[in-house]
Amino acid sequence: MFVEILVDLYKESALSIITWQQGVLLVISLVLLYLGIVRQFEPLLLVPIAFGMLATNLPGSNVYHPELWADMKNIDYNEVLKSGGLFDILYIGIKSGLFPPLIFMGIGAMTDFGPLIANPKSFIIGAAAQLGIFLAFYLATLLGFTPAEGGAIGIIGGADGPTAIYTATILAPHLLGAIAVAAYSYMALVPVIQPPFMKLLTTKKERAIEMKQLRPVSKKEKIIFPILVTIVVAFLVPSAAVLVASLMVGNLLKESGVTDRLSKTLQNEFINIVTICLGLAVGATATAENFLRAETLKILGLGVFAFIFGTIGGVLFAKLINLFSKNKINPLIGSAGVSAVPMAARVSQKVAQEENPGIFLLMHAMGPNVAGVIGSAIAAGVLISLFG
Amino acid sequence: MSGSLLQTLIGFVVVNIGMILLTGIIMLFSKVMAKSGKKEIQAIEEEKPVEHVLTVSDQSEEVIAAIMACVQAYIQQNGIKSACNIVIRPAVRTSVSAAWSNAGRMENVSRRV
Repeated sequence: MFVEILVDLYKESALSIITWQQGVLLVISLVLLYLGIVRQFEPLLLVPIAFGMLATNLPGSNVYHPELWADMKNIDYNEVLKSGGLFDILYIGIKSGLFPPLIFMGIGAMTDFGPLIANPKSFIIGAAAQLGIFLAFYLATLLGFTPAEGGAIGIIGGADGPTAIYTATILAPHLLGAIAVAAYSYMALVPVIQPPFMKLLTTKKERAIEMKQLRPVSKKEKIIFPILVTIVVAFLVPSAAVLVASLMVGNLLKESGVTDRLSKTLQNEFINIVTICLGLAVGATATAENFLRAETLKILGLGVFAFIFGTIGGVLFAKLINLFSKNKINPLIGSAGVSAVPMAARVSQKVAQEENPGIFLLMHAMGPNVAGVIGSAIAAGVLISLFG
Repeated sequence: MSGSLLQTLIGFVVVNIGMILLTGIIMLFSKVMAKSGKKEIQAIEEEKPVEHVLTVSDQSEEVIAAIMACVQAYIQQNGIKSACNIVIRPAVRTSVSAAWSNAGRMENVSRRV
């Protein structure tokens, strides 16, 4: 009798329906929570993503239903609203392409484009650092991924979370979980991934180059800049317009000086709310069926490849500029074009300081750093227009 | 040349073209702004140093130390380059009720803004 009761209880509990794949994902989500909370690897995104992964893989939780999103071209939103769980509702914000641009608005409101305006050559350095995206795309196609999947994987090299999520949602939504985890983990690992390649490609003398102080940038320039960039990019790559316009409207609200309340909201509550919803929903897509595949390991490998070659592209291009430029630039700022803002710029400063303790490279590195955000958005637009 | 290699090259070239275009436009725009910018910067540099006046009353050393900490914070927050323009003058405490009334009025106004 007692045994029968125990057996009935067991049958009613989730323990009787859990699969080994769900068990593995639960362990992975706990590892990611550890990395986010204890080791502080991009905690603002990694903790919600990891928790979304945890919740979705709890057997019987029904917080996310992959079957509702199976046919990506004909989603029945009525059914989603009727039968969906919490994370299905949140996923609407991702699937509709809403959340990443909203986060970009907040990022724009927190970004200072002054160093970029003061030294416009940073744009080209930022562009060179997007080499990693396209090389990773090419390698992904060689490894058997479709061009659309390759584009979604390659964008990890842009080191920009919202851009990676936006691109993956359009080009390869079934890979979204793996791509998001890879993107945010590697962004946190920039101080580990970049320095060896930065040192390999530069001499001690190059690393110690001191750069002239940047010119002051007027308020008028900072106001006109976001308007100008939006217009130029929208004409050149219309599919990048959403991301770049969102980034620039946030920046304009900050720089205009007349919308202080809006800017403060964007920088704080607004971006925080969207981040929570985005993180949970992205994590929820990392179900056992989607995540535990050989492709996930390939994605993780391609992600680090993209970061490495982004670093190499930026540094080499900065060295190339030095061949033709009278005012030498420190090639370490090239690696900051991998747009993990402001981490990559800090890494440039740190590596330079090892050779020249008195050097102050941070503001110079911020130019390519923020240019890389624009560059990766343009790259995303190009990939979406080619394969979307 | 395989299709994906061509797509890689096209994509990378398009991104670079876009960024080069942006570089050119921003350089042009900066040159145009530089002329008016120079006038603004010259005007700021030619501006006479403003005498920053802080009024304190005769108090104990602890209060003076606290006031000096406030002065230092004021200098840092307002980006004042030189402390030479800071003038501290002795003052007499005004009536308590007037000071509290003023503080209350300012708080009411700031709540409504």
